[in-house]
Amino acid sequence: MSSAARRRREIVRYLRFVGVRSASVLAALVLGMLLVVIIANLGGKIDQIIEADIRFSVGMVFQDPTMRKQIEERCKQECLAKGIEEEEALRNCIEECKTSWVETQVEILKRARGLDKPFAIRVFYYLGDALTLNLGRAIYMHSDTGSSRVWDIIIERLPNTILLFTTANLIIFFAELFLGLMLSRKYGTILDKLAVSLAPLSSMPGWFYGLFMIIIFAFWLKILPSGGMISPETPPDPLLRALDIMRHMILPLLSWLIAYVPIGVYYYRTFFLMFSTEEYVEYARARGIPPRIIERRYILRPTLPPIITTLVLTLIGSWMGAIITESIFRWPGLGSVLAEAIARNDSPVIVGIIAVYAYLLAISVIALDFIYGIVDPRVRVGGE
Amino acid sequence: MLRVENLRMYYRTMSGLVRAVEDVNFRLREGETIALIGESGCGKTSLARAVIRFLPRNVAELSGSVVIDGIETIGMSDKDFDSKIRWRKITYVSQAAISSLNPVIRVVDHMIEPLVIHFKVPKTDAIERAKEIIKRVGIPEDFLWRYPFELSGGMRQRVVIAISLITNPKIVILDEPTSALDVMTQANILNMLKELRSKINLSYIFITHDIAVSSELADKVAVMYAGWIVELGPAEKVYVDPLHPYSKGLLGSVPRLRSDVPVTFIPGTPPSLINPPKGCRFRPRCRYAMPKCEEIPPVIKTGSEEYVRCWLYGEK
Repeated sequence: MSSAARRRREIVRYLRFVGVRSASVLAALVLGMLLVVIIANLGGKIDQIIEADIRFSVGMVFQDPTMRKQIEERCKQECLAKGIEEEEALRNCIEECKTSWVETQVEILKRARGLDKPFAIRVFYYLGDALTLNLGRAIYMHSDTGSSRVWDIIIERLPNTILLFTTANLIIFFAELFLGLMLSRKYGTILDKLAVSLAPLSSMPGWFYGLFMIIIFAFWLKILPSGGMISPETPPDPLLRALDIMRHMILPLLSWLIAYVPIGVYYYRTFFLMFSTEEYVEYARARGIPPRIIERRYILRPTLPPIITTLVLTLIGSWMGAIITESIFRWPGLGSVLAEAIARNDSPVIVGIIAVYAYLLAISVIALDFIYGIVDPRVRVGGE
Repeated sequence: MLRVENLRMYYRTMSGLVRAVEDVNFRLREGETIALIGESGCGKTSLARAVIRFLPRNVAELSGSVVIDGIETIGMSDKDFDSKIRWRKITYVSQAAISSLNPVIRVVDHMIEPLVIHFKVPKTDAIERAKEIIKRVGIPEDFLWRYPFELSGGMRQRVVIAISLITNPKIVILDEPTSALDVMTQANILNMLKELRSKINLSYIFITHDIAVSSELADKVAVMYAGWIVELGPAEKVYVDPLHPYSKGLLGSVPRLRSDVPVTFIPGTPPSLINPPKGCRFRPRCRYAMPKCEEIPPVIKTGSEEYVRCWLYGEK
């Protein structure tokens, strides 16, 4: 076969593969989002709660004497216009008129919220909105600048989350990887044994160490802030602000490092030890290939796919923030927004955050397929 | 070319010292092939690894003398060994050649590595040399750009042999190079090895448990048992008329086509190398064992470069 024809066939095969893959990921995304929409709305229960809220707020109008008088006056005029003059009948007419006014108001407000159609149908509207990232407005929550648009709420908090948690995860990932690689070289030494015995530190989550960090460094030594992201007294100079934010990041970062690096180092050490006894690594040693090249070309290269997977999923995972760590350190991230949304049943916010997350995840899964093909020739072939 | 004298290698393990190679002597001339034969675990691979200094971490003792092309290598620093001996004078074809290639780099990258690393040859020249060598082992040039998993087992074996030839060594250690291959591929590889030897005057140390295969190539045969060379001699002599009782048993266990001679076997199992039997290590399985065998048998010269380690041939 000519090389051009073979090339063409390869491209067609590749495109078909990408198509099938994207379609299946998309299907999973739609199904997942449908579930999220149903769960975030408590299967329609939220509707009843909102309706009760609307009814309550409409009823509140009558608590205001001037408003009540106005409405009663208007109803009286209507009833008189109908020619009802007898006192008993007039009072009944006014009550009826008031009730129907309330119902009309409730109906108008419900329609404004889109609650007039049954939930089973609305689920698909919600789903469509979520999938087109048309995230709408929050029911109760609003951003610090006062906007109730879900995008505004997310965008406001996202940089903070990325700043702290993506940084933390990146540091943790590379520390694990390189310390693990280094220890696999020093198998059996005192350093290796020490690292292995430190692994149980990771049996506690990051926020647990956060509590100690706050007690030690903020309350006892008084050298670092106990929480928050920036001190209110910091002057608006960008450099000073950046330094202050970094000061606030030290404790949460430190507590996450203590909690998550030891087990990761242990994991990668064992991982690399396993792969460094592969026959082709041994044979490279027999050939006198220098250790540094062996490490790079014979150990890291063949193991890149699982390492990259871990990295990408860690980075995506950091986007949601960390609920408990954020509240302990009073860090204004997305985690606390999500926690508040769940606590207050603010379904558009829940659906919004998760929709963005789902898209990031789906895109990464597809991107990973491409990356595997680049780093590992065995994946590229996919059968003749 | 290669002179091994009183070579000894012990491993340290949890259960004690493993005497994997003990008091081994042999010589190898230019263009000559020595076959190391014996059962699994008799120390053949350990011997080879001691010669090319490809040692596990738990080596407890490595002593004696290994002279390669006039240079004494025991006692040499690892750095000197790497820069003067390894892959320059002597190369190694590993036991599991089929899985000895890195799955994510191309054949050509494997081949040029020794040249680029040990000889600092520019990459383009190294690739030219790789093209030349790969043709010599019977693989088309364009296979250089393939990945190992795109080659058959026999081809991978040829590639590993090509890697061991690329730096023009004097000695190639072949550690069971054909045992994982089917008979046809085996025959092909053996023919190729023969051809290479006559063309470029290579010396082989050929390690195998397959006596039929070893008889194809060997000029000399060393029969190993429990870390010792129990008999060393010219191929035609050892194959036809072995002296040591173990050699007799080993050669008797080779099936012969259309012959009335029954296939024999040696009862018992090879001894533990942690706690070898007192005296002759073959004594517990030997038909001819006698009281004298409780003493370590001497090396008895039976020719200029032949010996046997057995009391049967002792004068006393």
